[in-house]
Amino acid sequence: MLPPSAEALVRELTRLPGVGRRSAQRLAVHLLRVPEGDALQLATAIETARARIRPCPECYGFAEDGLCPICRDTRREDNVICVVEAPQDVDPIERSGAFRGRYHVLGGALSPLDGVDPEDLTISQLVQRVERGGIDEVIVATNPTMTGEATAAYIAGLLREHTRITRLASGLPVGGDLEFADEVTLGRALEGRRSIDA
Amino acid sequence: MATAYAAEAIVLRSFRTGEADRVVHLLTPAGRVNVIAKGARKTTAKMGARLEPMTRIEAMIQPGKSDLSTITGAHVQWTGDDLRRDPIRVLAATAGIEAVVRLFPEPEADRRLFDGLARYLVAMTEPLGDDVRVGADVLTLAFVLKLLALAGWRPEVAACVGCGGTVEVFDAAAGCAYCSACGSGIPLDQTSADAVGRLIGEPLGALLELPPAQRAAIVRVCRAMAEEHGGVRLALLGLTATG
Repeated sequence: MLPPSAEALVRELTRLPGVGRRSAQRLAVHLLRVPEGDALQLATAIETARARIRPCPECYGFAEDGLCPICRDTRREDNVICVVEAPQDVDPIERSGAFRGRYHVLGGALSPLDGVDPEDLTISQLVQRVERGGIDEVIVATNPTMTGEATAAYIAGLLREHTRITRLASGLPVGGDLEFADEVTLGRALEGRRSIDA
Repeated sequence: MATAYAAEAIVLRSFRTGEADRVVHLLTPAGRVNVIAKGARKTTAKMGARLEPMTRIEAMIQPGKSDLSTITGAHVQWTGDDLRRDPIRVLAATAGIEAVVRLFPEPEADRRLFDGLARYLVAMTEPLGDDVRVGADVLTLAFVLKLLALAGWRPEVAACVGCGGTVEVFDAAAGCAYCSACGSGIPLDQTSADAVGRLIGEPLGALLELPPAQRAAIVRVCRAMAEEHGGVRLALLGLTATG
């Protein structure tokens, strides 16, 4: 049985995604055991981030003081936009090192059953960016789920006349064994096969 | 701990949860089952693609202490991938799924519901007439009317139930049609009423073309019946060709 203030801390921690009561209790006990300064650093970091982080006015990813670091970077290619569902999707693409263009964060995916319509996402802002000109390609990197595919198709329908629209390929993970591939992924990998250049 | 069991299932919808998990709503012949798929969102997960909405699977389910069971394995019986990649058909099929979710919320066994949904989803991948939007819309209207009949709310619209005359209005509370002298309700002309009868009576996909006015009238009838008797709103119905 924890004292009321510790119980309140556990309650707040369980509201975080992926944190159950047991994990929350462990985290709370840890925060109560470490030096006070260390625990308060976490509180300060949360407070500061909440106060400073805003959507980037250009790409709608996370930004601090105006544009996000990627939109501010003048060395990046301005003529390619990679469209992702959420701000956290930018990081894995950046880590791949294979993309040097700009991003656009939609803020979700279309899902009529859950009441997520085009107006709930930053699709009109994407259209405006493309209509301003200078965009040679829009790479739609929404998740390969039903909602992600529907969103990709919707965006392609809006932008097809303005620029080239491409979609991330679906296929086998590098280093994986074919025998363990699922039917849908393998089917798409076969559809998207390419010739081997000599 | 309860014993794990295998079940045929159709994936109705899924939500993200936790770090990389999904909560998946399944329809089985034994009724609705909600399961958690651990790690299904990881790119290395084999189950991820098998738990996309509209897929028909053979699932291995481990009952849990709560209402949420755990899915420990899945084999694909029908991928539904062709359907999911066509946004027009997906929107129409989502309206069909919405109707199943809203009209049959209870975990009750119903083999006819399961087989009907399986047939509907397959029919949605087949040729849908000259205009896919209209064909997908009409197919969904037929499916929803059959669902209403299965729920015990079949609209009686062959003729005015008061005098046997020409249909002019539909009374959702009574679940039947009248001429304007015998009753009141939402507008429904005789041609649209005949189409309702055909859509309920004929196999799925037999009728794929209806004029916009008839489709709109049938959407009104379906929505009114669902709201009046099921207390639910079918928001997506009829949007494929109009929205």
